[in-house]
Amino acid sequence: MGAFYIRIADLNVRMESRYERTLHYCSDYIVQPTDADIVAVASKEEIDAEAKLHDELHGSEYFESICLYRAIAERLPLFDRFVFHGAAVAVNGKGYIFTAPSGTGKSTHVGLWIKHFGDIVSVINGDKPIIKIDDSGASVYSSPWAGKEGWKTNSFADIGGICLIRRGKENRIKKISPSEYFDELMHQVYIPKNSEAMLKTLELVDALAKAVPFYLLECDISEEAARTSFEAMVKE
Amino acid sequence: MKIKDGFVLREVMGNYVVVAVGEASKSFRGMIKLNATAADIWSCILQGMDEDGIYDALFDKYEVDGDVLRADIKSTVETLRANGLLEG
Repeated sequence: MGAFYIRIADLNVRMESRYERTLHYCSDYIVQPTDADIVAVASKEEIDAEAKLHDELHGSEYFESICLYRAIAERLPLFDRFVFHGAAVAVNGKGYIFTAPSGTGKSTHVGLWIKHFGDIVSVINGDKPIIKIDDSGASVYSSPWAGKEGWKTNSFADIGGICLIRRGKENRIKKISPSEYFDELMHQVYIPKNSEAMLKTLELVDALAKAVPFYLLECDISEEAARTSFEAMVKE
Repeated sequence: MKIKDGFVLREVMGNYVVVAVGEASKSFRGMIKLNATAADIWSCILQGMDEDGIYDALFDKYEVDGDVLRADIKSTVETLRANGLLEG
């Protein structure tokens, strides 16, 4: 395998991968060779170190995949973008992001939106979308990395709302001030090791908090759960 | 008393956080949250003030009892020191 180029979040990325599989999961994002804004490369040492962190049975190509996205995520803030852990969907041209610690039920909730409002809902990225901040506000972009479900469509949308999910016995949603949910939200943001990129990320997150509405949803896995969030976020 | 090199204060989503940059980021990863008073005290230390100087600077700003303010300053400085953010 050699290098190839993808375009994500309006940036050109040169991908240097050892594995054929990388080309497959990137297939919807591939562009002709061009000037690269970012070069994604993972050393053998990084890949081995990543493998040691996981007990799961995965091949080296899986760990390379993690390292490549991290290489990109480290650079994105320098272009006013950052990786956010959440499931992003588009409805009527607006993007809505559900976020929560892994295992809370982001994918389940997005699955409910698709089941009940599927004709107008499309998944932008089910796990690690990219958020871009500019003068016009905040938008969410897809990327080839989309978690175990692999839900992704090479698309983007202006962000209409970001919703923290908690499991609950009742279905209810409220608007929140992101300042009060600082820890929970920051945990879902990729914080680069590089200092310049890290400080830039803090600025971008601050700008995001000012640009879009935030919600807290407590929900189960019923149709009512989907209606609760949909009616509050989309119909507003 | 001064802030250790490589530690900077930022306001993010209405919260004050201290993060490490450059060399300091190799030994400290993560964020330390400060409340608004502690953030003010941080700024005073940055300007080279000692505890008395901070007291004078903040007494006019905060309409609080002098003893309360002194205790606040003392405990904040101790906390910053305990977290390895101060030297001297």
